[in-house]
Amino acid sequence: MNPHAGSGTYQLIVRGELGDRFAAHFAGMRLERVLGTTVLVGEVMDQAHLIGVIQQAQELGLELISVEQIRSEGVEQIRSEGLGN
Amino acid sequence: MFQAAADHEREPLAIDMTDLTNFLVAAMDGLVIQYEVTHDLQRCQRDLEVVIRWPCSLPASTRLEPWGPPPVSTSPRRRHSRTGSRRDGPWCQPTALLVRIGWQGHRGRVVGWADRSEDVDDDLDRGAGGSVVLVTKLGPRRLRNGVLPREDLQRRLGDDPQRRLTLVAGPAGFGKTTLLSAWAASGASGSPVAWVSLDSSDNDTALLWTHVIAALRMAVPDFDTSANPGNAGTSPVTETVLPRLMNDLAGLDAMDLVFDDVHCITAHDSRDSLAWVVAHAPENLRLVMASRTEPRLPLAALRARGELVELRSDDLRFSEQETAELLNSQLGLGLGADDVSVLHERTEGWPAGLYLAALSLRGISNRHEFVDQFSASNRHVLDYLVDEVLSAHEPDMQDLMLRISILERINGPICDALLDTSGSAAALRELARSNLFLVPMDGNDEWYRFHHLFGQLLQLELQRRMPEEVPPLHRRASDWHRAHGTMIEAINHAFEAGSWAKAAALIEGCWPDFANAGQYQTVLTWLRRFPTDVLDGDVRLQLVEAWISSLCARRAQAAAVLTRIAAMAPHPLGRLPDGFSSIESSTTTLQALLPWGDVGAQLQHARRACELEPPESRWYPCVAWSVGAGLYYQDELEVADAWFDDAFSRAVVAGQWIVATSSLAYRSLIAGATGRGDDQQGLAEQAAHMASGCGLDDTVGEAHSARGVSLGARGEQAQALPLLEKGVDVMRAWGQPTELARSLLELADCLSSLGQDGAARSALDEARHIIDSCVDPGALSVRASAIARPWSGAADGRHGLTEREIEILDLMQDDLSERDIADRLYISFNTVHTHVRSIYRKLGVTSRPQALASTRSVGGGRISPR
Repeated sequence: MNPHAGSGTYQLIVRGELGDRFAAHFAGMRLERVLGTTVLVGEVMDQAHLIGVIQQAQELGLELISVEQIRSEGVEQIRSEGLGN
Repeated sequence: MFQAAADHEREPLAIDMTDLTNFLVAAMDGLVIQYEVTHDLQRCQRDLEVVIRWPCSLPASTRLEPWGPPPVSTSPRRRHSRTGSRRDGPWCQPTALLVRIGWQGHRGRVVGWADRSEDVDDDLDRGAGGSVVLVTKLGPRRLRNGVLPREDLQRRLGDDPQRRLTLVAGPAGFGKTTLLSAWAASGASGSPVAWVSLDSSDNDTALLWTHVIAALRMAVPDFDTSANPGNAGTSPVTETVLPRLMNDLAGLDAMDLVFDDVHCITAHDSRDSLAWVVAHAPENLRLVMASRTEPRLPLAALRARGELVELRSDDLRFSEQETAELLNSQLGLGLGADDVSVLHERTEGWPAGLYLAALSLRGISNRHEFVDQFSASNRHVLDYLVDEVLSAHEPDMQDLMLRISILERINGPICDALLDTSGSAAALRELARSNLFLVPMDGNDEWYRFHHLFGQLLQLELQRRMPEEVPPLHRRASDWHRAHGTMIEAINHAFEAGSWAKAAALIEGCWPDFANAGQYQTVLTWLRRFPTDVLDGDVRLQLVEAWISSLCARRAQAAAVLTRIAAMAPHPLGRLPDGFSSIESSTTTLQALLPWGDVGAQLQHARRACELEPPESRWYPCVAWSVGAGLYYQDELEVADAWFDDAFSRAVVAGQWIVATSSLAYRSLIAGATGRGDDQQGLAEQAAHMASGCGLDDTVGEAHSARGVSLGARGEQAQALPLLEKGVDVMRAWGQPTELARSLLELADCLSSLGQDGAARSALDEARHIIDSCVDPGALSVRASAIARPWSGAADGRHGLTEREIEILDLMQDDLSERDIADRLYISFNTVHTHVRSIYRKLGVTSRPQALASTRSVGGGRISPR
């Protein structure tokens, strides 16, 4: 398995707009509120790290809408393309 | 062990337990406190009065009783103390008082004790350590006002008589715990409900099942089990503890066992143990699990067989009707139907969201406006509402809530400690009255905790408002827990504060308590939490790792750590927090206790440890035992006996039951080998009695072996066999080669006496194999060759062949001539010939082929001395 598998820039979208205090919970991720959701974007080291971020969302009872690896353009790209289903 | 004043006159033995962690004592009804006075072994009869002082009034239902023979009289004396007295049995000279705390119905299993002896410095951390059971984890949550009964869901929980597992799965805030608590409290299931609230510490399998057994005892007071997770040692619980537990549960009336927060169990062993129980639970035990995630269990199989009842988040959501019932009927908010509908839609029936909304609405006059604004906002429900709820409180109260949000469990005193104030208990009660998210944990209004989600949000807000306050709060929490003996929490808070030094000091002091309770995993997890460079650079932490991995039989890991420690020489001098007089003393004792097959090294290390560890040290019994063991395995039996005797006396005083039991067992073996049959039997029986009384049946294999050997010596081989087999099983899990080989030889001897030659042969072969792989097996190799050969047709397998004759017979099997044999053994031909004639006579044969035939008939494979 590629040792760098699962690393890269990831984006998680959760339902509901979260205040800035949540930035402390998702340390290392950038928070943006977009159309009734919150988009978390950040560098993820590996799979274990990614699962950890997902678990952090779960701890707060947040509803995960999507998790995906994105290009480095990041949130701007999403905005211009519009949020998917 | 509490050391009493060694009075020989008729003065009461007074023990002061006023600084014992009072949460353990005060939180429970139906406590049983059992005490036993241990003595040395002289016969006399005396009245003994025992006075025990407690930190608080004990509930009236508490029983104080002696453990062992029934009391002469027991009567409560003063409000803050209880007295009992008993007539003593065969022993008289009191040397120590052991106090055990347990639950009604159990028989003196040690649930918790504080280990204290007078000659240890005060600055050593000797709290109740790993053997403390947190009673706040047991039993369903107390129900508050304003909780919706949700009867239709409760009915589904109890409905199906076929159910083996009921699973309530949903994210945080869906009311799983509340629902199950209401169901448990309502008695709808018709049977007693045992309840354990799991948390991350239950990833230590020993701790997990200790709590489960305590929960079962709480629900069914008459229930008792011989299963003792703390003493399973290195064997997996699914092989020792759990089968025993399931057996003890089968045949009882139906009962429910609830596991709350199963998602906290992430470690393999604990998860596997839960899966095992789901698969093997008896008919009468119905399991209920609540979890935020799908537990790793064979759910599909249960579903297919119709044995699974599931409630998932869509089932747990509030309907609009339930929303109306909650907000208007239960909480009296008087909302219009439209507002109720809006709230229901906005929160999507999420119970936590609805409760938060209700909390916010209480303090507001224009509720309709609030609902409008709330529904118009895109903010996450939680985020929005927590702000509202917080701001509804006075700034002082907000400050309090934020600061205590870092705690898993909250009571008045710890609150005071964190805020550097007093009188917090009243504030907490007030807060709990009005705030549905501060949940009481016990029936005494003493302990609380925040609902998980609410607590998380508060912590985030704390981090946002006063980030610099967070580490000091954790440090204070750590100090409070340390002072109260709850070491797991003390250490967790130290880690959260980033105070590696503090965490290290706590671990270095309390690890023996956790090791004694079999909770190795807890300690290993702590060690993994340190940054690598901190761990590798701290020789004392390395020592803890060396000890724990050795006790877990992780031989390679232990060896690697010891090498690392040696490379860090020269070591700083000075006493260690765990009681060792120095680092060198610790490593030396470790290698003396667990020599991994090198008897010479064992003795060498043991003697050196004697020089380093003073007799008053808590570790001296282990050291004395090691000297005894080293000498024993070199066949210096008389001297070994004296050492084991010393080890025994000291171990009893120090409350080190493993060392004490083992010493008795070895003394019994020695007595047998030196021809003192009566002593052999008496000592073996004492060892067995002590082992079962202290729950050490799966830890001290030699107790079983000694009894087996003693029975064998009296010709009762059939009775001896299961004991010897048990001894082998335990020794195999323990892993020490010399001790395992010894027990295998004892087993082989018995098997051959019973004529089970095949089994005897394989036990002997295994012993041989182990002995061959030992660096220095001491006298074991000679002993192996002296074990009676499995001759066929012999009633007791003994022909009175001497060692020399056996040697010669083996060489005869190799087709050596008598002259060759003489050359090989450096004796004269005439001597060999004499021996051969003696062999023939004893075997009842007249020629070499006949002699060899009687040995070969047992199936080949020769036994030869090294």
